[in-house]
Amino acid sequence: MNAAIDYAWLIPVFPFLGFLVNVFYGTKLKDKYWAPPIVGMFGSLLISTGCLLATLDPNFQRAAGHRFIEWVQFNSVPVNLGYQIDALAAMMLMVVTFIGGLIFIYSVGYMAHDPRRHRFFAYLSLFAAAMLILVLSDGFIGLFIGWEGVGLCSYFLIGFWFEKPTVRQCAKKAFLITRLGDAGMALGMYLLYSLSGRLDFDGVFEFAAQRQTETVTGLIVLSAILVWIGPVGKSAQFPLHIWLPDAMAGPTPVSALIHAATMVAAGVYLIARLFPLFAIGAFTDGLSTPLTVVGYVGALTAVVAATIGVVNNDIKKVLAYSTVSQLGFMMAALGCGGGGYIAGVFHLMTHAFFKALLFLGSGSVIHAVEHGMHDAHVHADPQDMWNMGGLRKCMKTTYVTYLIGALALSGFPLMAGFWSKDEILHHALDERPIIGGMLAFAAFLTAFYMTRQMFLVFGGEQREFDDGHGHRHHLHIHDSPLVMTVPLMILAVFSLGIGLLVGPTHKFQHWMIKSLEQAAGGGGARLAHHLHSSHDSIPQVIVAAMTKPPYPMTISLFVATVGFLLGFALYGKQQVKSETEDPVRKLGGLHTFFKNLWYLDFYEPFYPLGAALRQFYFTVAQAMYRFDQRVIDATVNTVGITGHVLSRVYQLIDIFIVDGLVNLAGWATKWCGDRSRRLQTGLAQNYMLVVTIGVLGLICVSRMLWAGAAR
Amino acid sequence: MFEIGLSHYLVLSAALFCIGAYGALARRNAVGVLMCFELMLNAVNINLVAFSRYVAQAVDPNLFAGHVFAALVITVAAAETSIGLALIINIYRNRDRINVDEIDLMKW
Amino acid sequence: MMEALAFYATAALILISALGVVLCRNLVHSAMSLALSFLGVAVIYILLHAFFLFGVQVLIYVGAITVLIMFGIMLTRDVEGNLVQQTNRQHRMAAASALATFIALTYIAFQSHFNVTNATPGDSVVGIGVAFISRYVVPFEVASLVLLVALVGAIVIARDKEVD
Repeated sequence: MNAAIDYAWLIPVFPFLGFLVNVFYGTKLKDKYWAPPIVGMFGSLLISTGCLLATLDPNFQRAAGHRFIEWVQFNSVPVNLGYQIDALAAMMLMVVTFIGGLIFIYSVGYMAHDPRRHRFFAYLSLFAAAMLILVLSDGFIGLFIGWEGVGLCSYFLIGFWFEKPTVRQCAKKAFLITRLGDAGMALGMYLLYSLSGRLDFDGVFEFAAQRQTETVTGLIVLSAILVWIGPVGKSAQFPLHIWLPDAMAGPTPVSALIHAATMVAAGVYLIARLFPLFAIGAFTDGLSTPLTVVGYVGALTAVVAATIGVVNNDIKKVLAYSTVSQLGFMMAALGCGGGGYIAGVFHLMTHAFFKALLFLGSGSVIHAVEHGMHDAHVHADPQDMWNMGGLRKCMKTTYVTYLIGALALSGFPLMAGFWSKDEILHHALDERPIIGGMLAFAAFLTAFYMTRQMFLVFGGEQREFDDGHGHRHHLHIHDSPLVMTVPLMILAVFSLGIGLLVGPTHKFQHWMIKSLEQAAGGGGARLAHHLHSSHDSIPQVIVAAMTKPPYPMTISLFVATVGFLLGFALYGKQQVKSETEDPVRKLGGLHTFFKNLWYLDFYEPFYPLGAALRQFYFTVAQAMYRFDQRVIDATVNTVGITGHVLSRVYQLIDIFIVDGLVNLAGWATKWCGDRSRRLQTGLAQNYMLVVTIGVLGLICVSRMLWAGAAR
Repeated sequence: MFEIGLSHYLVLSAALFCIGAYGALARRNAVGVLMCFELMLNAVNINLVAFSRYVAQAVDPNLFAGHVFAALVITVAAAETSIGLALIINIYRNRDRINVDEIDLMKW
Repeated sequence: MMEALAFYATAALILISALGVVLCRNLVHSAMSLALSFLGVAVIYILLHAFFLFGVQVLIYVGAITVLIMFGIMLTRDVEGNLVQQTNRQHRMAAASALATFIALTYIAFQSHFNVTNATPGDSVVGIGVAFISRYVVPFEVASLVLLVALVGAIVIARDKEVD
């Protein structure tokens, strides 16, 4: 098994290779475009399974610092990228690779008609690679690389159908808001590095455990809260939760993978991974400040999101708000410290399964309804639950699997969600009753809105649609192909079984505690020391939970039943038809309040702001263009005109002076010749006269020159 | 003055020559020019013979180079006069007048 | 004494007849003056003991060339008669230059110094004959050629072109 640990660095490499293959050869693969990513995920799954089995071994020692790459040196402190495998990491690996793999297979069917499907799979692979890097990393740098990577891929995938402008806006919104969170997280990282001089988790934990002064402790707490801001963005905590529902603009597999199972869970994973840091002061002066913040914000998120989910009509948006709410549950659990840590991580795992199942199921429903609408030439929103109904009769597989997922989410007894939610409530009510109360209320709402959704979508009769000719008829809807329904079934099995397998037997607890013990710096060991794992059998556990204060199981069963009954009463009893008014509207003002997201969507003003900014840039750019044109044209014209003028001057010079000189020479010659030729009179006597005069001259000259010579 | 010496003859020859020169330059008729030409040649002959008589005899009494020269001059003068007249006759045939200052075809 | 008189008289004859040649309007008169000047020159030759040349002068110049010129005059009678003006436009300039030339020549003549002798010259006829045969035989022969060429040339030039 240790061999798997040794090769664990390959886990992110396989999906990354799949990404590269699809990027460079995607179009050439034609119908087999899905092969490289799925093969990559399968390889990662194999190795992850190996790692998991290795960690389950009782003699397992946490493998850390394995195979690091020395990347760069800051102030002679090396920055290394390495990986570590412990129980938490192994669990996350399994979740990501297994659920990711199933979603990949599902996507083959869902995106079968999309013209850019090979690019979709490339993005999916890249996302998987980034997520796995995030999970495996043993230091902040690797974590941040993976963190940013998943954020980037989330942007790509949400904005996959970028032809629609709303999709582009949603992708931008998601990316920008998570970026806000990343900024806070980066600040926290910088603070930690400046305090401790270390960037790997072990080093930071050691530093935190050996802290000296009050100031340093305070700064560590501050840095923990700053780092927590990252998960606030990534895991959609209040108030940065507003991007998750808008992220539903992407294809359903994206929603399933990223916004249910993996990326949003990365925040929870981070808090869990940094638990020794967050738990500073947990054992000396009550529960620590960072955890308190995490806990309360998480609980608030859970409640707010659940209320919004109640009044929403879009099938995917309901699931999105549900995800936000469940993430709040997980964070609240972590914030309750101690056993809440384990409960939160447990819920992370179970939630991944049934939320992915629900999203894929909703995708199947939307797919079928869309086809039905297209065939009947009906123009309506295929995602609006009020356009569905009665689908239990025509989409049996989807119905059954979706039902299982909904029951799990609501906390129906014996389902996966039941066990994990129970654990959370138990510890929450134990440590911080206020949080526990809020979570109980949120659980009630969860049960209610899931029941509402089930009845609206699958219950009652199918809606009738007007086709424009005065006829009203039903849509022809048939279930989805096997490639989509088989993953649904597999996920359903896990949703049913995993809670049962793991929860009440406390094996999970053992496992996690052992892993915590080995966390460096002693903080984890002290933490683990406070946890105790019970060795009671399953029935004993259940009875204890129901009868001993604070009665977590009783409360959770109670709230779930109330929620279900209320939903049944409002939506199940009467056959809901198209014209029926939504009973939820009876809440009146509250309904409007919830529908408008508690008026908390602070991003809304940015849409017109963005457009205004774009307009501003265009105007500036145009103005500059015009200015540029004028200046440059002026310059060019000036140069041209100058050249022209100069050339005219040169022309004149050339004509009058140069040509003039030349002509003057010729004219002078001609004039001289003209005058000179008149010497040629043609009369011999003139010539003779000239000769005579010349001779005279010669005589005189010679006489003067040679005077006296003849003597 | 009464003793005739070389210089007398030289002056005579110069005067005759210059008269001939004037005539050659000033007369209009071609034959007239030829006649003045003869005057000039005669002046030259006088000069030559005078020198032969007074100077060459001092060197060698039998040196009659001047005479020979003068004889040749006469010969050439005769030849040249004949040719000249032939030309003039030719011109007269073409133009009916032989005024030298009308024969200016070689002018500019 | 007599020699001087003879010389001056002859010189006057020559010069006056030369002026006559130059100034007469009538060409025939000019020709006559020319013949007279030739005779004067011949007398000068006698004074200079050049007896052969005297003979040659009279024969050739007075005899042949004068006749030739007479022929020329007659053959080229101007239609206007004899009263046409005989001086051209440059005659004043010509006179001036001729005068200047005369002055220059005489000046040189008087300024120069020659080895003059009054010895009686030998027999010029013999001397010339001997010179022509011995020392100056080439010019002699060439002169005969010149005459031949002139003869032929004159005939060719003056020939009437219609006769072929």
